[in-house]
Amino acid sequence: MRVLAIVRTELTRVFRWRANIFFLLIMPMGLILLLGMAFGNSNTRVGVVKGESGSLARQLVAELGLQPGLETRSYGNKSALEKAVERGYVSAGLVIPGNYDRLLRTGKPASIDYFARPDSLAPQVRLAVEAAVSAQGSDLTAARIFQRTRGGTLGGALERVSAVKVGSPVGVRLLAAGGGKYPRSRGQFQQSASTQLLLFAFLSALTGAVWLIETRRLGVARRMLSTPSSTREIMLGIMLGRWVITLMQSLLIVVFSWLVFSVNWGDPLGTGAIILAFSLVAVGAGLLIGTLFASEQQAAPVGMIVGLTFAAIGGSMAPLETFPATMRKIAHITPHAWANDAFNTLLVNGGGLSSVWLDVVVLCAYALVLLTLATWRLRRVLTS
Amino acid sequence: MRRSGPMGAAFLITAKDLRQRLRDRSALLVAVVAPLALAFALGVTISGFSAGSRTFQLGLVDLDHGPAASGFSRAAADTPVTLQDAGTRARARRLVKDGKLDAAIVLPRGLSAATLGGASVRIDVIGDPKNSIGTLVARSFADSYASYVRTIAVASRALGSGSAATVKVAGEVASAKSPISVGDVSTTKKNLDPKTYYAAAMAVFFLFFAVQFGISSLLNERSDGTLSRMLAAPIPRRSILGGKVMTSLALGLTSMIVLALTTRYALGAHWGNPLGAGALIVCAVLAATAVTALVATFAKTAEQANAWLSIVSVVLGMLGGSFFPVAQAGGVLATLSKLTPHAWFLSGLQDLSSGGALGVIVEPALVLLAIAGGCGAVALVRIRRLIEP
Repeated sequence: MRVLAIVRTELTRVFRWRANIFFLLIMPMGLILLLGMAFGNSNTRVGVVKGESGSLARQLVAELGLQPGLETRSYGNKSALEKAVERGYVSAGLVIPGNYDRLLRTGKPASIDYFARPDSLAPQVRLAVEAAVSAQGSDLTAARIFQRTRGGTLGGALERVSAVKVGSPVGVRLLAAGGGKYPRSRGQFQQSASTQLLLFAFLSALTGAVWLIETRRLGVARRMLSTPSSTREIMLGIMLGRWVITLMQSLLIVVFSWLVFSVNWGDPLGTGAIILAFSLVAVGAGLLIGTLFASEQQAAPVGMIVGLTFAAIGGSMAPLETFPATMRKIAHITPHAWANDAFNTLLVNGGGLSSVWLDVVVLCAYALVLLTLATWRLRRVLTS
Repeated sequence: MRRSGPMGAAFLITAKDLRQRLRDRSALLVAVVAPLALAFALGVTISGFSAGSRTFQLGLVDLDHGPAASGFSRAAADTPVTLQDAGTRARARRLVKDGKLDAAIVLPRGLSAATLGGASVRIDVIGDPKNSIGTLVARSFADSYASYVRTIAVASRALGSGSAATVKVAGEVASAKSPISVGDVSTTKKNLDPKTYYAAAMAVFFLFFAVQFGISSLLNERSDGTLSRMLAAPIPRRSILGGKVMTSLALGLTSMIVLALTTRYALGAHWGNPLGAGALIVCAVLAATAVTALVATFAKTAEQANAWLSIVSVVLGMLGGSFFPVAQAGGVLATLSKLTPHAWFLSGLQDLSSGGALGVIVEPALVLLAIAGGCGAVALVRIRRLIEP
């Protein structure tokens, strides 16, 4: 088969260049590791300055740490904490005043300074802080009412109240909207694996446009055309070659991340469909760029720009759910957003192929448009 | 006026390189378009245009039909939460699943009675695992209510009184001012927005690509045969080298300055004191030029140089926090991050733009210069092998 011969040539050319192994495989795995280590536990970090650290201050910090999705870090003073918030090491900062315990134990109100980065996690942190504060405020308010009714000191009332071991008569239970229990938090590398798979499959397919230009520049295309192969066979060979490379890359990322980081890839049919459809989109976009530009020096940066920008907008750098609502709508211009949505449904909610069919259809539509355009351009640049 | 001598030759080479790069637009793409596009994309998605004002739509399913629901609505007043009636539990689940609501809270029958000492009940929070933030917000909100009910239970139990007294206690708890207040002082802080961070991060990330058009193009000149021709001409080798270094510096500086000005005026990024930012930019350009020159001296062919330089630039950028605030992770990653010029440039700029005095850039500037000096010196020793036919 002449088509297969062209596919084989494409593969040989790509893998003969060792650096490609780095970009196709080592780089994505490195990032999955890096992101998993940095953000994998998905807890939001809150920095705390504890002041003189009385027992009430310590109790508040412990209460904060108990809030779901929150994790505390201690800082020695306010300016160190401010710096940490500014640099994004923690999402928000709380400064518990030095006289916190004294104020509260003498029945005076205490005020905690709170500051956050102006990002989309801020409201969540704010409410979690409120919840922790109201949990601590519970005993204090009860003690004040006790003191007002029975007299005595506030300290005595606090002791009396703390001795009452009673939970809230109102419990809170989490349920998943799709039915059943709300899933526990995912593995450390779960989120980064699927987002980085998309980022790199697309990026590599786009920067692969350079190879198509080289095919023309070195005259490989002309030589292929002088053989008895038809233009159609050559185009099919080139496209299949690029598709096989993208699929191989995706498959290797799936297998390695499963083996090394125990990433769960969910329903094989669903994941397979997403990867097949998305890789077609990527190949179409890559071929289109490869046919729109004349030199490698232009195509390479354009591929990088489009590849990284789409990944950023489409939720492969920061998760879509942290986007503001309007931005989330705009994000769905990119195929990444649809694929990320599909992976979320599959991997977070544990759905199957039937729950992601719409996303897959949209991806197929993208692929169809891009591949049609690319075929049309490819025929022109090969035969002109 | 045509300059002559070794300097003149160096300038000629620089001018030729710059013309070449401008003509094929590659420099423009790498040094300006790419960082701007990404700074914009990351700035918009990660920070959002108005992320601070994001509100959460929570549905309320009131099966209690008592005063508890209005207590909930009151509690939502000063928070980024908007409550709306979701009707039935099934409808709430559907709205959450379709993403119309961030989460829903089901107030069970008997909630108001439980508040006043009745049997224990459970509030259900319905969330979509895909919208974990919305779910956590609803959860915290419900938790705060549970604490409020607990206050009543604790006070009544401590007082050991009957149900009539519990009603009185409940009234007191409802009207009690919280002993602890949380004052949001975010707005009084110098606004260090992600926009500025990503503008600077993308500028320094692509700087490492922009400077590659200088020194490492020696390898291209060699494979194209133009290096032999230059060497055959009466041009000292140091002029060729000088010309290439100047190309790197010129492209790097232009790129950074154009980006700083564009992001400042078009995206509203704060680069801080212009003098300090300028000094940091110069140091970063020197460091980037030296690092790329050093890497290039290890390559045999232009393709090899391109591959290695891309790998080094991408790895340094990733570790240096160009895409993600890596140092957040702490530990080994934070230490590794400190080895990259990117991290030093970014932290210096952050201190500067958050209103620091000029003194804050001394340490990062010195580190960048040390990287430039160290890598530059080794590169200079090894560079002769690049300027050979």
